[in-house]
Amino acid sequence: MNAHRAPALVLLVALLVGALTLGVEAPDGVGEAPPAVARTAMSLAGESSDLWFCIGPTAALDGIRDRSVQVASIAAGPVDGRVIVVDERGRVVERAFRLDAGDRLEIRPGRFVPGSAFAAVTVEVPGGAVVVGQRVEGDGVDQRPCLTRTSGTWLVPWSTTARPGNRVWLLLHNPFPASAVVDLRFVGDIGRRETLDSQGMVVAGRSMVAYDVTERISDSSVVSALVRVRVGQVVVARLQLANGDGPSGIRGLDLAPGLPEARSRLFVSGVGPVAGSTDGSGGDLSVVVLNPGEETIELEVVARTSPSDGFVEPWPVVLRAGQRHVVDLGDGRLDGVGTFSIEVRTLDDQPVAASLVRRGAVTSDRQTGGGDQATDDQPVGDRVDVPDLAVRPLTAVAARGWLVDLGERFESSGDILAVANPSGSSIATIEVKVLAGRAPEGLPAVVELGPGAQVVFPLGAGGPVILAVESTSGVVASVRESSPSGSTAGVAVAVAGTEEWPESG
Amino acid sequence: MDAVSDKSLGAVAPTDPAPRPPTATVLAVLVAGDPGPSLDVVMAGLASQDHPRLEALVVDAGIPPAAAGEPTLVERVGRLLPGSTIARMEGNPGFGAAVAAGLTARSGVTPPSFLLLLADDVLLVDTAVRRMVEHALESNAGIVGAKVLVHDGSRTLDDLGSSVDRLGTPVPLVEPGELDQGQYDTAGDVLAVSGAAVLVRTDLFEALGGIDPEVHGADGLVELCWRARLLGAAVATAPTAVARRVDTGSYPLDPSDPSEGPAAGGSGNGTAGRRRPVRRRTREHPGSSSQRARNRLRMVLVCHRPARTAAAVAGLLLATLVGAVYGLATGRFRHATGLVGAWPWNLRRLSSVRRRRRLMPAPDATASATVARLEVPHRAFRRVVTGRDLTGSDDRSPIQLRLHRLWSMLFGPGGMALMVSAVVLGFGSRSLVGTGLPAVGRMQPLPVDPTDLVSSWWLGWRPTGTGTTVVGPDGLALLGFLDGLWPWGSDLLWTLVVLAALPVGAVGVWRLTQPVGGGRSRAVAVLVYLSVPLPYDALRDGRLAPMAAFAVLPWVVRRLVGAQGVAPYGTRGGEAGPGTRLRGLWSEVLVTGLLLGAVAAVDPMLAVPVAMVLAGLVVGTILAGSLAGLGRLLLVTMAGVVVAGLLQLPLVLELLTGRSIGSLLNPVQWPVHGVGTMEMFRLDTGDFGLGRVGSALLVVPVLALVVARGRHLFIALRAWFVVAASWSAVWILDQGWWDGPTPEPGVLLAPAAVGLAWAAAVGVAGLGSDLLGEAAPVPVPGGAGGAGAAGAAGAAGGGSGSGPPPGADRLPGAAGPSGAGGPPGAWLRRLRQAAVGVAGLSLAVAVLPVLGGSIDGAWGTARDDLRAAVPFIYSGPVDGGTIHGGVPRVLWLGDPSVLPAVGISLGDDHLGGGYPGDGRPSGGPIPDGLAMAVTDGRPDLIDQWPMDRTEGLASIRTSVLDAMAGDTSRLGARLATWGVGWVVLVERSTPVPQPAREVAVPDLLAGAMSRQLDLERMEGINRAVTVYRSTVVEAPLAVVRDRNRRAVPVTVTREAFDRRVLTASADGSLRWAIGPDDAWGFIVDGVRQPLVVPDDIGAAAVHPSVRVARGTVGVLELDGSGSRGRRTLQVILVGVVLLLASWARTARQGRP
Repeated sequence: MNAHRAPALVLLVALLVGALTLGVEAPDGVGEAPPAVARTAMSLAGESSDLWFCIGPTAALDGIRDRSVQVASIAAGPVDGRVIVVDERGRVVERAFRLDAGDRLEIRPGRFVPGSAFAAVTVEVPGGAVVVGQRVEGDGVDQRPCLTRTSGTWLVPWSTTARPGNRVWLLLHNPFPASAVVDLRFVGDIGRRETLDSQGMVVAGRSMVAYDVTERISDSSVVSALVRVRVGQVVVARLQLANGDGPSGIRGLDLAPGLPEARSRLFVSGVGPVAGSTDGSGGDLSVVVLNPGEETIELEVVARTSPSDGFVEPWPVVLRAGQRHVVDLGDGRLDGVGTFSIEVRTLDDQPVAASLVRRGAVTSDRQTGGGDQATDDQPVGDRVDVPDLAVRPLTAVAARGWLVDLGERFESSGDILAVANPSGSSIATIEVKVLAGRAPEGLPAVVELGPGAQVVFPLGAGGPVILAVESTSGVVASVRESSPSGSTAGVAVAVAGTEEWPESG
Repeated sequence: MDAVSDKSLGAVAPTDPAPRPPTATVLAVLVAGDPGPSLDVVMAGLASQDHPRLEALVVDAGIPPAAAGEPTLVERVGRLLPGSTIARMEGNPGFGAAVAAGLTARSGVTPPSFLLLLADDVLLVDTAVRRMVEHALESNAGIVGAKVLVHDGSRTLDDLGSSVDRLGTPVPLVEPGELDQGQYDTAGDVLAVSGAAVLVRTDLFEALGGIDPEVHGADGLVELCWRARLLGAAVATAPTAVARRVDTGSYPLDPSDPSEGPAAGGSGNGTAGRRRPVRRRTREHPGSSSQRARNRLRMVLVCHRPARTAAAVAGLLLATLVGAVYGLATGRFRHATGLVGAWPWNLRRLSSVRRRRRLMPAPDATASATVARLEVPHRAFRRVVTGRDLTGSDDRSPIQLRLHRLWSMLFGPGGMALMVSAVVLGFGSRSLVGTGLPAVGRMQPLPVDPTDLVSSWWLGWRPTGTGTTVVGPDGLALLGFLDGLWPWGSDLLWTLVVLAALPVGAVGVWRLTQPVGGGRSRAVAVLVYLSVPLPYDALRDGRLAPMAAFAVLPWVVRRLVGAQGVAPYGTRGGEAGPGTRLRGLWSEVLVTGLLLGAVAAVDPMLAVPVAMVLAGLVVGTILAGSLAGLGRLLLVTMAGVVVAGLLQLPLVLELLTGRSIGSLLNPVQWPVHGVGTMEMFRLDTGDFGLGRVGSALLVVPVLALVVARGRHLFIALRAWFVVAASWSAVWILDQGWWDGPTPEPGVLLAPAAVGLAWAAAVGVAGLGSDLLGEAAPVPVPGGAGGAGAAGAAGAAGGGSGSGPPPGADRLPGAAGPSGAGGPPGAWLRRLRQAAVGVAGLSLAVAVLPVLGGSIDGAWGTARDDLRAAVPFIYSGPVDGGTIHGGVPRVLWLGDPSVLPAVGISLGDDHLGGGYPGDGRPSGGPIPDGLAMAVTDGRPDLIDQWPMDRTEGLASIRTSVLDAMAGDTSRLGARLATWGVGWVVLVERSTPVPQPAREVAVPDLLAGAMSRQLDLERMEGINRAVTVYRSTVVEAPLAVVRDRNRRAVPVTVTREAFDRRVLTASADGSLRWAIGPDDAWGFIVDGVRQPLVVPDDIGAAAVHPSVRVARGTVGVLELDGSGSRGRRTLQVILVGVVLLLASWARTARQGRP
């Protein structure tokens, strides 16, 4: 045969050149963002199993009057579940329960593990459709949903061990059978306190550890904590007790959950004047930003106000690796501004963690019957100062569905539900529904939220009610409550599966 | 030595000027059966003899009447042998009977001293008779034969007599093609002399009763000599009496034609007797198979003494049975029927046997000893079975000759390359052979009871993945069967099987390149192939499929190019090269089908690289500007695929009834640029290669594109397009443009490895031809410059036959470096020499990784495996062993390349399935490439082949995905329903600190596992794995109590692979978490127990169950009847195809 070289050579060379020039670029190794998961997210009926982790003190701890865990059903039928209470001494108590439709169950962990100062409660609900929160009362009050997420990393941007009058515990709960090994790292006041590392601390399976920060980092105005879990996963919260004797005069209790992750955009809504505050402002507001990474980060703290309040100049921050910074929002830029939301965003897409700290004195009527609106013109009668410390970790997750469990609030005044649209480009249409209880008066059915906008719904006082917020795109919902016992605030409970990372603007 | 010059017949004249006076009369008995001109030649030879007292008797054994105008036999005899006697017979009764009849017709005349029995195809040299007589007188021999040479004038021996073996088969003394160098002149101890010309003393002839008329053909004279020996007569060959075969120029139309008479009487060797002008390597007996078998048995009955007769008859009987089977298997039906038919034929003639025996007095001890000494000791049984003339003793057998040739070849360049490769491979594998392969990836050990592999294949059930009935590869069964025959450990067998991929692939390339060039070409091809990093990377990572592809693809390419039939792999466009076997179309189809079926038996996935090879050959052929053999290639391949489909009928049926093609593939994670373009060119899928320097591997193949011409260029182009097909597929996949199921990169690159080796052979052949063409230009008729160079290619390449035959593959106007395009100058010569240097240097660089990798004796593989990391995970019991509740299952999660068992992908649904709850749970993110596998305890080889999704796998997959999505916190409880006791996250293929493939488990999965309330992570385990122990595991075989729904394990005694004796330990529902649901049944006292209806109270959730009372003993039995039927059919089909292939091959060989 006669074989011809040229056509084949041309084709082979063409294939070679094509392979070398037409290929797609190699991936840069940066993986996709992990799925958005809220710190607290619940499943609707029958969708999946939920685990709720409630960690905190018991009444046996000095300064704590009561702690209760509320389990509220939104299911249409009976719900079976299991409660596991553990303490730091290794005791484990397990009980099964059944909740009828719409029922509530109240658990006082201290009664399961008498004598223990701390107890962790795991509520297992195989069928979902149950909201679990806890309320701690002492010199002040803290009420928030329990966590539903464990993590290998926890960040606690703010606590204080300033002497006298401040006590801080870092609470670590391992609800799983195997032991977890954690490394703790604390950042005290720069220039005054050395960083303390506590490496390889074992949190036995089905147990909790209350790490007394006050003893290790004593007399530090701000203590940040970083928890890295070598093996396993844990739940972390920080208990802050302040009796007002300290240099900053902080008084109250705060049981803030840790942040399971750092992100480049963080949000909190419903910030602003608190009903009953002495000066009608939001109190001493500060944002504590923690850089857990190894690079210096440029960021800015942005207050998103309503259009009528005008533009507020952001607070720029440059944060070195492993350090934290307190941004004081009380420098006057927010004077006269109504309720607003805050966004912390880094300019170089590096992750940070942040908490909003509100410290201030709140006066409260001895008489109940607070107003219907979250305004500053509440009737003033026999007023007393109440403890007011509320630390709200900023969230990075938005969701299209939120649930708000409002317990009895007959003494409440100025409670609000704030919903913010963190997106920089899309409009969110939200709808508030009542799943159980009696709806607060005046709740609008449907509201449209522009990019970066926020809406506040006054909740007034009343009996228990469970609200649902549905949105066409991811929003951030939070609740702020005030009562004669103090004020508290926290993010609502996301509906599992509706979480998403907000679009950047 | 009396060599005979090549003289024409007319030149035959006495050469001895002073013959001694003869002392004996000789009667030459010429039995003429062929009226052709050769008879005149034979008679002329007789006439020219210098023995004066020679008379002739011509027996007309059925010569047809002469046509008008042609001389009659009487006229011809009268002209050449005047005074001779002519005896006419009606028909041809056979040589012996014709001689007897002729002698009878000459009664009344004084009997001669000697009879010269002569065939009608033998020319006696003029002194032959005299020298035979002299030899008879001098040595007092009763029978004297002549030295018979072939007809072509050469000194090639044709016949020097024969011996017999213990079963009575005559065994020729000389080899086919053996030259006469006087080697038999002094010691010619044979039982029988050549039958072409036999001088026998008349009195002896009469004493022996003449030639047995029932023994036809050449065997008649053998039998005569045999009996003469038994009488004590000497039988000898006169080395100076020379005869030569006459080319009769005609062929017997039917070898079985009994009218063989004269010719058969003339040859003990056989080839001349069949009047074939061309000798064959394996000589066939001149007579028909049936005649030969009859002769053999009759000679045994007549010539053997009683004690030996019984033994020989028994041996013949057994050989007849085996030979009949052999004949049927190879399509030699006449041989088979001849063997069988010899028995009734001889039984009918027992009376004549007795008569012949009575002629023979009891031989004395000396005569018996002489005969026994002359008996050929070896291969008697095989001669009967095969019907072939296996000549000589051990050291002269064809096999020995082949071995000698192989031995000689091994000391050529190619052989040296093979030997050096074997040494390097052996040196590099010494630790593996000594200690066994580590259980890495797919290279897991054989089961504790390796016969499970056979049982699994036969019964169609595998325990992997909670139990599956999908068809597994046949290779597993073969391995299990081999292990049963293997006297040493299973680990050694498995190690050798895996390591055999290297030499098998190398030999395949050797065979592939055999027709291309000589030793150097093949040596380079083998070196290039063995220098490819693919198999070593696969060995390190525990990937079986690339190893298998490496081993089989050269053979596939060889088969396909053979089917295409273009020179040198066939006769299209030139002569076939060395080692080429020409086959008919049917033979091609069947052999191709068998090969493809065998490939599929190893791994059906290998069909993908086979398709790439086919595509490369087709495109390469077309782009070379030819369509030669394409139709045949496609036809053979398509038909071969059909045949292979028949051989793999169970698998084909399964695919036709819903199993997805994707389920035949191992889950593979192939990220974008997972291989890399440059790594693809270097065939480097791991860390074995030299990096960029590894590109040296491509130098010689590229040279082939530049320097090859003619049919070498044609081969080079096809080789390169095989390479291009492989690279193209890998590149497309590496770009992420295909997200469907795909084989491993190593499998897809294997065709490129073969193509490069193939092209390298061509490159070296081309270089050689060019250089030789420069040094010694070959004169080419017609002046085609390229032809001369190309013609020298083979020789320059180190072997013969590689160059194209004249006019075979010339390139008109080819403008090669030494072609007609221009006169090559000195600079061009230097350039080519430099190319040779570069090629050598590149080869030296290319083999460096292999040399380096061989140092540790294990090719860099790990010396420990995951079994050491999870020692608490144990294997199941062997037959007779008892366990409670069955073997806890293990769920393995991680990248598919590091898992110790094949499973399914977590992330995609190409496997199909359709089970309730199957599929991706809402909102559950699934990382790419994550896979899961489920094994009964410790994984073994039975768990290494892909399967379709089972009900259990689907359920477990859904549970895992739910856990990853955060939808469950009690994964252990959900897995417990399938008896999963451990969940193992695998991040390394071997334990730390062994070398390993390391792929981290996605945080999502690790987090999900650590968040389970009923999975307890185990401490103190090598970080290659993270092991979770289920705290709520249920036994796979348990009784579910009605009262509290607790699963109580039952006592399980394994009786066989498919039978377990269960003893219920509680009242309730006995349930078995072994899939598929309908495959197993519980039998008590021979009665299959009815399943509990799922909705009934007491029914076990998910799994089938039966009601039992405490203490109930029954058998859980697999219903493998369906599989057994399919496998039986498959075995039959394999047998039929093998038979047909054998027949087709025999039919082809049978053609002239």
